[in-house]
Parts: sequence; structure tokens; C-alpha cells
Amino acid sequence: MVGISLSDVVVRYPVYSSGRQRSILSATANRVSFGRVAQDVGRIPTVTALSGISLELTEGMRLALIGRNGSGKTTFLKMCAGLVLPNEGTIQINGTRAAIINPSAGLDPDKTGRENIEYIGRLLGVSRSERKLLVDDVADFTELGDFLNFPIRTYSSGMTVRLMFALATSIERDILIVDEIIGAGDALFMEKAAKRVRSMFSRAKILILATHSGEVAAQLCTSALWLNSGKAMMAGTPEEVWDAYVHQRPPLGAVA
Amino acid sequence: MGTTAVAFRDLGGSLARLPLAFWLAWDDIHGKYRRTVLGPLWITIGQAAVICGFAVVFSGLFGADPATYLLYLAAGFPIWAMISQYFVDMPAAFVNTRGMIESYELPWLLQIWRRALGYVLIFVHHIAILFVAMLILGVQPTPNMLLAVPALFIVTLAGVGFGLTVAVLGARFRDLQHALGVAASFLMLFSPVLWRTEQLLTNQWVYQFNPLYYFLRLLRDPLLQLSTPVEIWIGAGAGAVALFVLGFVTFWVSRRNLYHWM
Repeated sequence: MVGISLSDVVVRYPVYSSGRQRSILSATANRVSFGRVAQDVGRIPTVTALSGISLELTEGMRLALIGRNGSGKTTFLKMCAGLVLPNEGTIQINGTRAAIINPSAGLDPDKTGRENIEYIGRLLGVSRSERKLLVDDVADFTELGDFLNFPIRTYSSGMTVRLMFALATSIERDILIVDEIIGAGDALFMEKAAKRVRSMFSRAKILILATHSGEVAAQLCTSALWLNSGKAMMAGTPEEVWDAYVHQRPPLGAVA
Repeated sequence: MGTTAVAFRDLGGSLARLPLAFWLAWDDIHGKYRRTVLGPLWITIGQAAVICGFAVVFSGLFGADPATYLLYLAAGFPIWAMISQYFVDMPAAFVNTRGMIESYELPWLLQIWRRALGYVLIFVHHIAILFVAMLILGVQPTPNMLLAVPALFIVTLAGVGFGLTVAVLGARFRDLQHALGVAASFLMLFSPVLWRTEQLLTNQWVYQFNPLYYFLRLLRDPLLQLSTPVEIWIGAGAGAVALFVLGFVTFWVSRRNLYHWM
């Protein structure tokens, strides 16, 4: 059974502000002097990115994450992708995942679009015959045409996003995790992406999407979660959560 | 899922995908020589040039027989090139593959196997020179040379353990890669790659207390058709297992913070 279950999750991460704090020489000096030398190295501040989040995501749910910059949306996505592990609380992830968090990060800029598709297909265990279909499918969706034969470094950011999105949605995965990128595409792409995500969900999966657009949330998602400074402010339908968020008005008896 | 479950699942998943790691390693090498006519043959050519150059100068310097010295270098140099990669390249293993780790649901340890297998592939390209040299000099291969295969396995296992440790620490401490680079050039002088142990009349400790010497010998002796003392096999094997455990425990303990460090 595909699902993600979070209970009282707290995520903290260290923030390194000076180069010294990343130096093994300074760290050693700090240790051998019992903390007298390089004192800043001994005290590395941590940031609490998420605190006390509990949530149950089951098959067929499409969740929009709403919140200001730095509210913990990306950390939430990274946790659901299995990259970040909670410091407190538990997370249970069942199902295969695809994450579009940093669209160009997983692509090789020197390889052509086609080679990248082949490469990633192979990486994700797609068989040789299916990889042919994969290339066709991605070519069809992205409408990149001849650009597919050019190295990725010649692509515009919108084209890269299109390619990554097509790839992530072509290879069947149970859970799709998307950071605020769909809003960045042009209007035509938006519409196409929405269609594709909906067709994907006819096969009952989970989508988690971070967005700054109430329209995207309403179009693609079935529920929404408003995060503020790492805490859950409100959960509900995308429309009501978006409405409360833009008016900065948490409902009575809100979780926070 | 706690860190322990994640770490062990990663280990199992990455071992199950060793063929993929091998293919990635192969692709990395091809990628590097993508825009060249000779392709990965450059690896062999480059090494051959270095070995011949050293053979000419150093056999004169040491008054050694050029043919024997050439074979000695052709066996030792590729091994050293492989060992030094664990110092120079491995500390960046996680940092440099952050994008791939972030984008695809793959075991993180796959990035370590991928690099280690890449070093083995380059070693194979390099060691071809030894066989060419043997052919030219009319040295017959012996069955004893096959012991190089288990020796290569032990050296790689030790390397992976060491490499995993420094890959984790290298993500946390960004100057580790530079420090290990300096260490590697020092250790090359302290290891009998260019010189022979019997030529060193004083300060024998430089190799006797140098663990790399034993791994170097383990792999080089069979290639030179010499027999390695059993103690070296046992010592290197035990050391390799210990290093592997150390590497995995480092990964396991640091897994929670490793992503933030990258």
C-alpha cells in the first residue's frame, strides 16, 4: 500500500556560516585545545526547519504545500523523498519515488537531451526496449524537437524543467514530489503538465507539490497544507487553505 | 524508519545494483574522453609515457637493469595510481554527486562503488602496459599471476572502506580533500613505487610502518611473478575488512547529517 506517514516530525539542520566551520584543521585544533582555539567551530548553530508535523498521505492524495520562503516546504519535500531524515518523530514511506527538487541537478550538461533520457532510464532500471518508448514519450511531451539532439547546457531553464518533468512522470513511480517549478513554466506547459499529472493519478498515486500559486494548487491538488516557520498552520482543501494563507488568517483551533 | 534501517537498506540496495555501478563507472570514463578520437586509450598512452620516462631515468640513476626496472614500474605505477585516487578523488564522492542523489531514488553507496569500480577499470587500462612490456621482453606469464585477482579484490575492499570514510568526512570538512592530496604525494615517496625496499639502506620505517606498502605488495608481487608471504595476505585481508566496517559505520552514524553537509 503506497503511503507516507509522518508523526511528530522535527527536522533540524546545521548552518555553517564561516569556512572555518567546514575545516578539519580548525575542528582538530578546537578538539585538542578543549574548545579554547577556534571557538566558533565548537558551536555550530542549528535551524529547526520543521517541527511537530504529523500527516497521513494515502493513495490518490495530491497535496499542495503552501507557505512563504523559508517556511520549510523544500525540507518537507526532501524528507518525503527520503533525503532528509527527521531528528525526532518518525516517517514511514512506502512506494517508489520521483523527485523534482532541483531540475537541472540530475542531468549531465554535456550529454544531449536524448542521451540524458537514455542514461536516466538506465539509472532507474528501465529495460532497453522500454527506453526507446521512454525517449519517444518524453520527446512527444516536451516538444523539444531537434533540441533533443543538443547538449543540455544549450537549453533554457524552461526547457530543462520540461525535460525533467516529462522524465519524472514517464517512468512509473508511486510518489511524485515536485518543488515550486511548475509555476515557472509557460502557460501552455502549465496546462499540459496539469493534464499529465491528472492522467498519472488515474493510476492512484501520491503527489506532493510546493507552490506559490493558488491556481496551481487548486488545479492539481486535492488538499493543501500551509506551513509557517516549520509548523503546520492549517490543512484543508486547496481553496480554503489558499484563502486563509493570502489573508494570513489561520482558522480558529488551527494546529499551530 | 530510523538511520539504521536506512543505512542497511542502502547497503543492500547498492550491492544489488553493482552492475549498474559498473555501467556508471564505464560511462564516466567514456564521458571524460567523449570529445577525443582515441577515447579511453589515452589512459593507457599517458601511463605508458610516464612509465617509460621513469624507467629510462631511474634505471640509470639506480644502476638497475632497465628491463627489470621497466616491469617493476609497469606493475607498481598502476597500483599506485589506483590507491592515490582514494585519497584525491574519493573525498568528493558525495559532494560531487549531490545532484544525482537528490534527483533519483538510488542507494547513496552506489556512488562509492561507482567510483571504486572506475578506479579498477582505469587500473585495467594501465596494467595492459605490463603485459605489452612482458611480451616485448619475452617474459612468459605464469599461473601465479592470477593471484593478482584476489589481491585486487582485497585492495578494492580496503579502498572502499577508506573511501567511504573520507567521502563522509569530506562532505563535512571541505579541506579534507586537499589534506589527503598532500598526504598522497608524501605517501608515494614513502612507498616503494619508484624505488625498491632493498635500495633503502636507512630509515626502513618509511615503508615498514606504512600500511600502503603491504597493499601495494599484495597486488604487485603476483604481477611480478613473486610470491607474497602469507602474513601479508592475512594482514591485508583483515585490514580490508576492518576498513570496510569503519566506512560503513561512519556512513551509518552520519547518514542523518550527510545530506545537510553536502
